[in-house]
Amino acid sequence: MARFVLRYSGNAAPPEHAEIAAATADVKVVDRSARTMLIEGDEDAARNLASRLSGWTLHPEVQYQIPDTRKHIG
Amino acid sequence: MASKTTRYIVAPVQGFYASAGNANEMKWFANLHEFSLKPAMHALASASGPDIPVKVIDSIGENKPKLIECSSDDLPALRASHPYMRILPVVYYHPATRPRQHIAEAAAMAAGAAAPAGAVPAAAPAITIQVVHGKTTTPVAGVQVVAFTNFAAKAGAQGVTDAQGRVTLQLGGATRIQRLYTYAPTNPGTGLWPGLQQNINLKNGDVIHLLPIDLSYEDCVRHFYKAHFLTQGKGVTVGVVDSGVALNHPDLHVSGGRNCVTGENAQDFGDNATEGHGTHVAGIIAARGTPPRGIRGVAPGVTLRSYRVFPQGQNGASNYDIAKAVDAGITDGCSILNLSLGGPQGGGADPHLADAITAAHNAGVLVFAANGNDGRQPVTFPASATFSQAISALGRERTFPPDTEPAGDAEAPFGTDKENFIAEFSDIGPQTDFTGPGVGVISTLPGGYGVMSGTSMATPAEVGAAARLLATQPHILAMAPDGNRTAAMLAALAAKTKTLGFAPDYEGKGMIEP
Repeated sequence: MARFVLRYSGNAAPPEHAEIAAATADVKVVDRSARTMLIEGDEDAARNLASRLSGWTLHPEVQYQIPDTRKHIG
Repeated sequence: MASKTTRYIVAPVQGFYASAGNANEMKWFANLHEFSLKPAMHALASASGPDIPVKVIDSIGENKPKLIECSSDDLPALRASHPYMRILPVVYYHPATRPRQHIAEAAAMAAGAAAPAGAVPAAAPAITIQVVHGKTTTPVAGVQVVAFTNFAAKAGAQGVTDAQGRVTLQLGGATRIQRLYTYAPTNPGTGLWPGLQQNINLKNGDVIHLLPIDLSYEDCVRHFYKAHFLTQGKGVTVGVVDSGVALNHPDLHVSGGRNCVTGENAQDFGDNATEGHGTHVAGIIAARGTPPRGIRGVAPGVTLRSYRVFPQGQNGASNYDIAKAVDAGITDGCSILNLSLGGPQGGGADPHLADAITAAHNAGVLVFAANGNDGRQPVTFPASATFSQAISALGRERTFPPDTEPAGDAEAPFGTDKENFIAEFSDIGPQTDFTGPGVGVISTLPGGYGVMSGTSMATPAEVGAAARLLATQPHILAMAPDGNRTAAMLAALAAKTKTLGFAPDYEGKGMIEP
């Protein structure tokens, strides 16, 4: 299971969440905002979902770190 | 000395076409289109120096991207002076043929090679040392001790002190230590400098003394940016996108914020119980204490907001949560956002976070981001994003005591003033916009104070300097929150930025002098 960011990049107003809820049966919606959803599931299911939603793009969730300056062995 | 010219793509701030709703952007692209019809060197105006020579080689259309040629040294000035565009690298593609087989000579030799000098043999005698407070001599627990027998090969031993301040190092009989680092805990802050002793002989029972911090000490931030009045920076709202800020620290006043970590309480934007990184960053910008009882930041008058993106007890932040924090900062009226975080080297594009930073640019919000600390490696994302202000770290001799960790970060190049240097750990590259003091910085930590180094510290120093400067420009802050305000802010910063004598890859345009 992985998490993906689903982002609406269309020019018109994004569809209501309820409208797309039916399409998300194979993935778990972790969080949502006006133009973005964080989803969790198999990559194939996530890509399948993105392909069925016009104007939405899919990107993997990325983790960022605090840049460290401490020295380490090895 | 002028560097050779390089080709770049000039694209509109967003998308492929200049925005019909932005008259300045349309005019700028139309002018460049005119230049492309007469492909000679043209002098473009600079906000803070001599004109910038640029040749417009081609134009796809009047309101569409151009191919230009100019000196890479002029890129920071060009970006700062003409913000109605993105400057993108020209990328060349090659046939996707299978690479030829070759002998991995280096790997084969390494596999059969002897252990590097300084490597530790197994099952050899160990050395136990004790770390104590330099003034009270009480043991200090939780100190990370790193002893290098061969610093270049990263060979040696490390451990953490126990309740008696003792740590046992498996040095395999070695006693000669090239570098001995001692990192005091930072959450809660212990008020001790991290130590560094070089080229010493270590033996059982040795005691290492950690120097207490004098809060009136002039570190590199205070050397360049001492704040004399608590009102400096007033009228500017700054958002710290980080691990949260300790809400009960006496030197800090956090006016609000949001926890943007998915699944956590949105109101919990205080410290996340890791290293206290966000609290240190916030103090560099906005601490309101008075030495020697407290610490003062670069712009103590700003309105400070905390946007937490690192989960409770964890050090990894999601691009989704960071983008949410950037969006929240825009909504809450921040003028500047501080991102002292970064991805790995070669981490590649992150369109989602890049779009959020572009949206901030188009909403009149500056985003400052840390170059990264990989040691002269390329600038990491999100500092490398087109609309981030990327910050390298500068150090200065005699702004840290002897036998403290910052002494290990001094390395060429040195500036016009030979006491200034670009920190050994700082990442560099053509995306660098500014440099800031980031070596041995004293600031707030949960429950106390401490010293940290990094582009993480240089970034809030420049954010504070920018806030101090913009606070004197209320007509810019009062502009409509759009790309024109961002352009005006960048032009104001460019006019007050001075080179310290480093190459542009190291310092961008230089250091902001509010």
